[in-house]
Amino acid sequence: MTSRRRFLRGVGGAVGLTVAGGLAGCGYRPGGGDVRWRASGNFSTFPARAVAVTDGLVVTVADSTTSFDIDREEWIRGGQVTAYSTGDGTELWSDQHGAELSCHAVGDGGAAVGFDGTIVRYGADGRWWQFGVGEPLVALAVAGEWAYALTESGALVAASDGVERWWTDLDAELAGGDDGSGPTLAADTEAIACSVGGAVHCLDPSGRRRWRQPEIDARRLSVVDGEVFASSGRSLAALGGASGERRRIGDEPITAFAVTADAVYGVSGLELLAYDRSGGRRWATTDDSASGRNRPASDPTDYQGRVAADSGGVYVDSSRGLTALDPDDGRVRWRVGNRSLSAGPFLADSGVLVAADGQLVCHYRDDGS
Amino acid sequence: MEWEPDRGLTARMGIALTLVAVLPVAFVYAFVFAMNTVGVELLAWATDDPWNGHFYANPLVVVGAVAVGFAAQFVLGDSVALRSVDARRVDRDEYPDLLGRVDRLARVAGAPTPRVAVSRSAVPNAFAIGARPSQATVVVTEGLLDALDDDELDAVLAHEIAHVRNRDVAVMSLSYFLPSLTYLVSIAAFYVLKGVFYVGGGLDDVDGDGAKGVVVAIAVLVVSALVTLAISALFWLASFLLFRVLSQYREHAADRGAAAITGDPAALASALRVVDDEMSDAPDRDLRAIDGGLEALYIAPVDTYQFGDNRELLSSDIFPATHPSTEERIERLQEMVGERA
Repeated sequence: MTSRRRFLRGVGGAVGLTVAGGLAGCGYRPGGGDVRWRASGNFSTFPARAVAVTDGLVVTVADSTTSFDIDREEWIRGGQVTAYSTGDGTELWSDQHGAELSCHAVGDGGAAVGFDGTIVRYGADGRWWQFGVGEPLVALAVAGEWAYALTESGALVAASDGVERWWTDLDAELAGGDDGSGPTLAADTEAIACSVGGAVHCLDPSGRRRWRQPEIDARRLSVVDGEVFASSGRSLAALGGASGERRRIGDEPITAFAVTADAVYGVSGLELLAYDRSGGRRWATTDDSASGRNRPASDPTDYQGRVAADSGGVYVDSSRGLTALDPDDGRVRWRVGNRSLSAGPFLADSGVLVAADGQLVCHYRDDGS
Repeated sequence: MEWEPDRGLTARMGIALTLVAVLPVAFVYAFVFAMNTVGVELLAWATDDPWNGHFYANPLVVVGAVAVGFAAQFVLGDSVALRSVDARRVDRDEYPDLLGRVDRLARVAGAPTPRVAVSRSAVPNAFAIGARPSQATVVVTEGLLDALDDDELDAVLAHEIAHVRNRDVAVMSLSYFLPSLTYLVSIAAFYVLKGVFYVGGGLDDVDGDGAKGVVVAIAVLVVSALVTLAISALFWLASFLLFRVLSQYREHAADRGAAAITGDPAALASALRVVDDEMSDAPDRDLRAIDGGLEALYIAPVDTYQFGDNRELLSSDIFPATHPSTEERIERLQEMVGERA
C-alpha cells in the first residue's frame, strides 16, 4: 500500500467518524403540504360526497356498484361501504349490501347507510347494527352512537343499537324547495336539524321539536356545538339551536363552508371569506375581478372548491391546487401544485386528506404535524 | 542568539485554531443550506411532490462530531503519520548519535526531549508530530541522515524541536482536517459524476417512463454532485486561507528558533539547499513514498517540479502551498548570518 493510500485511509477514518456522527443528528423535518402518506385505490371513481372523514376513518360509500361473488359465482349489484385508516390509508373494513343505497352519512367515528327501508349503522371497528324502518329512506345523519333517518313520507326516526328510540312526523312536503334540492339531515349530540319541504326543523336528541324555520331552504346543513348552519346556495345563515333565531353570515352567496369553534369560512364566487360566528367578516382572499391589463391580479387563485378548517388552519381546493391559509388573516401558508381533487380536503389527526389522481393522499398540515 | 517568544506566531495559531474549529461546522451547514435551497427544489421537481419542510443538522451533534473527529486525529494522528511514511520509533541503542543530538538540542531549547522515529525513505526530509510537546516525536528519513553533515543535521533537528517548542505542531495537525474532508467529499462527488456519465452511456435502449426516470435520476445526481463540488471547492479555498495564516509563518518561526538553538543559521541554510537538491534528484517512486499528505509538516516541501511532467502529487492535490520557497528561507537565514557577523 502506498503512503498516499495509508494516509487517506487514516484520515478517512477520522472524517468518516465525523460524518457518521453528524448524520445521526441530521434529517428532514417535513413542512406543510409535504406528503405524509399516499394510498393507492380507486378513489377517483367516487363522487366528492361519497368520500368522508370521521375520527380516524376515511369512509367511501358506493351507492351502487357491481362485483362478482366468487362463492355464488354471480354478479352482485348493490351498495358498498369501505373504511380506511386516516393514519396510513390502509383498508380497515368493508361491507357490501345486496341492494342499492338510497342515502348515507358519515360522522362521529362511524357511518350509516340506508337501503330498502333499513338503517345500517357502522362503528369505527366495522361492527354494525341495523334497524328496519319499513319506509324508504331519503336522508341519514349520525351523532354519537345514534342514527337518524328521514323517510320518504316525512318522518324522522332515531335508532341506536338496532332499536327505535323515537319517531316523529314532520308533516313536510318532500318535493323539495324552489331550487329543487332534496331533503338534508344533520346532527350532533346536542341537536338534529332537517331541511325538508322548504323549511328547516330542529329537534332535541330526545325527539322533542324545538323550532321550525319556514323561510330557509337549505341545500346543506351543518350542526356545530348545537348551532345550525344552513346554506341555500344564495346565503349562509346560522340558526340558534334553542330558539331558531336566524343570523345571516355575510352578504355573499356561499357555496361551500366550514365551521370552527370561533369562525366560519365560506367560498363565494372565486373568493374565500372568513367570518366570526356572529357573522362579521374577518378577511377575504383578494378579489381580483377588477384587475385588468394595467392592474394585474394580486392573487390569481380561484377558490371555488371545498373547504375544511379548524383553529389551526383553513384548507381549500382551488384552481392552483390544495391551499392552506392562516385562519387569522388569510395569508397563504402553502400550496400543493396543480392537481384535480376528486374529494377533500378533510382534516384528520395525521394531516390534510385529499383524493387526487385516484389516490388518497395525506399532507402534513404544518411543520412536522 | 536568545530564544524569543513569537507573538505573531501565537496570534496566528489563535486565528488558525478558530478557523480549524469553525470551518468544518460551517462546511456541514453549507450543505444544509444547499439542501434547503437547491435540494428541496430538486426533490420537488424529481418526485413531483411538495417539499416544503427543511433539512436540519443538530448543532450539538455537528459540533460533537467535529470534536470526535479532532479527538480521533489527536489519538490516531501520530500513528497514521508514522505509518504513512513507513517510520518507526527508535531508541538510543539503535541510533545513539541521533538521539544524543536530539536530547542535547531539546535541553538547549528548553523543550521536553521528543521521541525520535526514522523513516526508511531515501528522500531527505524531517518533520515533527505530537499533540503536546511532552508527546512529540521528531521524524527523520534515512536519506536525511545520509545526506547531511553534523552541523546541518543539528540545524534540521533544531528546526523540528523549535516546532515542538512553539506548539504549532498540534495546530498544524488539526489543520489537516478541513482540506482532508473537502478532498474526500470532492472525490466522492467526482466518482458519482463519473458513474453517472458511465451509466448514462449505456442507456440507449431505455425508453418511455423508464427513460424519464433515468433522466430525472441523472439530473438529480449531476446537480447534487456539482453543488457538492462547488461547496467543497469553496471550503478548500477557506482552508487555503487557514494554511496561509499559519503554515508559512511557522516555518520562518522554526527557522529562527533553529538559529537560536544552534547559533548557526548558515548550517540550516546549507541543509535546506542539500535537501532541496537531493529531492530534485530523487526518483519519483521515492518521492511518492513521502508524499503521504504530510506536506505541511516537512522541513522542506515536496514540490511539483521535483516530479517532472508526470505529476501525481497528493500533497499539492489536497493542501494549499504550505511552505515559503526554499530560496526565500535561505535568504532570510543568510540575513541572520549577516546580523550575527
